[in-house]
Amino acid sequence: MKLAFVFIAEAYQVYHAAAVMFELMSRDGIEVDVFHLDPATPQHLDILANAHGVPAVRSRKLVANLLGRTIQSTKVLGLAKSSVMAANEDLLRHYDAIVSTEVHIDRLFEGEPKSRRPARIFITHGAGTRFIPSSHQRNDCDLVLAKGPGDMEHRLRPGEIKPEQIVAAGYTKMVSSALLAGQATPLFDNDNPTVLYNPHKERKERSWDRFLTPLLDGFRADRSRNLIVAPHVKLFHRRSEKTRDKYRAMSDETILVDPGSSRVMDNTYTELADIYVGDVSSQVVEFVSRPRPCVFINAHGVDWKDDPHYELWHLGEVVENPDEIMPAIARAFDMHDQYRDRQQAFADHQLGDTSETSVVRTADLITDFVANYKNAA
Amino acid sequence: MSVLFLFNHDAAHQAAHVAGIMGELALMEGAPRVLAATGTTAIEAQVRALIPAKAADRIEWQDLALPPIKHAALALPNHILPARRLARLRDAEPLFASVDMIVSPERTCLRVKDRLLKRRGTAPVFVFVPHGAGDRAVTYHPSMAKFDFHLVSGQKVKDEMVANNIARPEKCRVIGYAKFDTIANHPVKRLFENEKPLILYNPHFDPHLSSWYDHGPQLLQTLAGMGDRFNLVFAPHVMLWRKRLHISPEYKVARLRPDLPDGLEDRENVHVDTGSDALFDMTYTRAADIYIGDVSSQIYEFLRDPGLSIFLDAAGDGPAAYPFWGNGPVVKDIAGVIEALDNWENLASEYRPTQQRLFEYTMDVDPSLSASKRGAAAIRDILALR
Repeated sequence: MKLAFVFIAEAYQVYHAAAVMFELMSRDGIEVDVFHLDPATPQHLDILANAHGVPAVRSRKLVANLLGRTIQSTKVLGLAKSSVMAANEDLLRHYDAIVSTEVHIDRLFEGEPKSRRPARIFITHGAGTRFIPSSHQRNDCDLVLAKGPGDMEHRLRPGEIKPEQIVAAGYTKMVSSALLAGQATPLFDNDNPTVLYNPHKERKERSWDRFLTPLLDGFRADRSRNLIVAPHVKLFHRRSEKTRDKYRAMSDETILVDPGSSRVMDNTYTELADIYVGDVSSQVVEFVSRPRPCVFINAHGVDWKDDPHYELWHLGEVVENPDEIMPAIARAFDMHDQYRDRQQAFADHQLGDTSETSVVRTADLITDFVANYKNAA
Repeated sequence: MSVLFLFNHDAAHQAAHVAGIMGELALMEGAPRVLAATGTTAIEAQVRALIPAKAADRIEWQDLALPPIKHAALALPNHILPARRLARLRDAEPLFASVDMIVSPERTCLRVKDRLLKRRGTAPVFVFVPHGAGDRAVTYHPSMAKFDFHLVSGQKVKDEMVANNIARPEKCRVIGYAKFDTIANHPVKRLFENEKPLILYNPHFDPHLSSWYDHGPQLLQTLAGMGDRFNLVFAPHVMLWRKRLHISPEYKVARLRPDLPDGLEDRENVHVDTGSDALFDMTYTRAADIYIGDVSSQIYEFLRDPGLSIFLDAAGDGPAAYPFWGNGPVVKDIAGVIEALDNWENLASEYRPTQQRLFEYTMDVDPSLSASKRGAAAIRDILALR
């Protein structure tokens, strides 16, 4: 069985598929090749291979066609996706299946009969409940590996994915995260509790502009806790190094400001933190897979309580004003009893199995599916 | 009154502990209604083979096998995948709600209890019969506190249950080790034509704690080369060979399992078994004179009939890391193993008193009453409390 793992979006997507990929590589009778587009991908694959105790993985750069190359060089527009596809079909045609964390692989070999093309397998990524692209109306992947039952149900919208196309396989990224955290050096020189501030990029919902300074002031005045400021990876995605350095310089012995290192992507911070502070980032779902106190910031006075869009805010205390944030952090441990069970149920529903068995199960699902796909085709 | 025994696990190694108790309960005078729920027909056959036919006839056998369509839809082949196990448990909910007690060797069934309490407000009494008798803290998961009673092998497990806040002392009944009963009438299997002492190497699968990853292949080669003095059986924990890439979330470590050295299986003085039922039916622990291991609780099955036990400290945790490492020399490398083997008879005598003490603390063996009979009696007593 020959499988191609294809990473065509930003490098952080490899964290959602690496554990399964390594498991498949370790099995007899399975050949796995890896392809990428974002030049940062190999470096992340190396980090992950090391954490998983497997030999380094060689990944081949995909061919970007002319349009792709133009767009790629224009960082402002992000990475070119679908335009890259056609140029690479010849490269990928002889595989039994293409596995990707990017839904747009369904444009590969578009319109060709199943018997003449590889199976298309999509591993969903992102932990959230809110960020499933609505623009993508159709999903022609042959198999969708969703995370938990909630993720699966959410994607089962009429006309998009049929029930027999999708399965809740669990969330293998947490396995990689745990292995990476096991190798991480301590971030601070003390054993005090660590608070993670993880604001989102959405301009209309973000707390960054009003709450960063009060938080920094609060933690400078009280050194009994550490603070990690780790904004959503996209908040600084297209900012200059100079801007990032300005923020990095705010760090000191109990405060770490990190605008966009790999630690934001690889869950180092969510693994190490004791308390989570955020607004609408879905990273909190990964954080509560091991229930721990959360504080949410409603920076724009939203009427959130009955709005399903703000479902996550029921997992902790919600504050609205900058002067409320430090007291809320101070009582977070005491308040946690009322949220613990809800957090666990929520994480189980969204992420499904996050244990190491999710890795074996997802790999089994892929090999079973591909074997049957070949027989049927 | 009705008691349901749950054999839902996909691997047989958990069945023997509970099967004997079920058999004795079914044969008891004034026995309650006894039901056996099995995950697959293969498990049912295995469980039936472990008890007298007369007992099997008195038991109502319930097949939890999923309807074929659902089975295929889950598309989860065999081993270690709890999804199938959980799906089976959900489908059988009305059956579980109808009995007074559920006895299980594993804790996945606690999901059933949670669901029954949530949906119906009541649940049967859940009784846990732990498998293995290890010293590792991981054996004591906090969720085990949800069991109403625990049937344990000896005072040690009872003390640990109490120390870990799993159960109060009165919720633990010491019954001995049921697996010993099921093999009591079977003779020790002869594995080699000669009378040389037999070494069993029994590494665990955990990528952090197991000696296999760093020492195993070379150790096997070294031991195989000592055929003039010893026979060698390689019988790892059944999980080690189920896959190649092992992940330990507990220790945040993943490793690729090294393969066996070439040519090992052709040697007359070597027996290699990486997958048969003999890995957990005590065939090898009973036949061995010398046990080499790391963190497997099978050491206590070996110590039923003592001999030299040598422990490889692969994680560098030091000789005091586990109480059961008191049963023999703890070594860091292959040279340490060889040194112990060169003096094995003296060392075996030296450690015998300690082995006897630790064995008795772990395994409460009553020569006049089998663990199965004691377990059945404990179940009858617990039922009488209702």
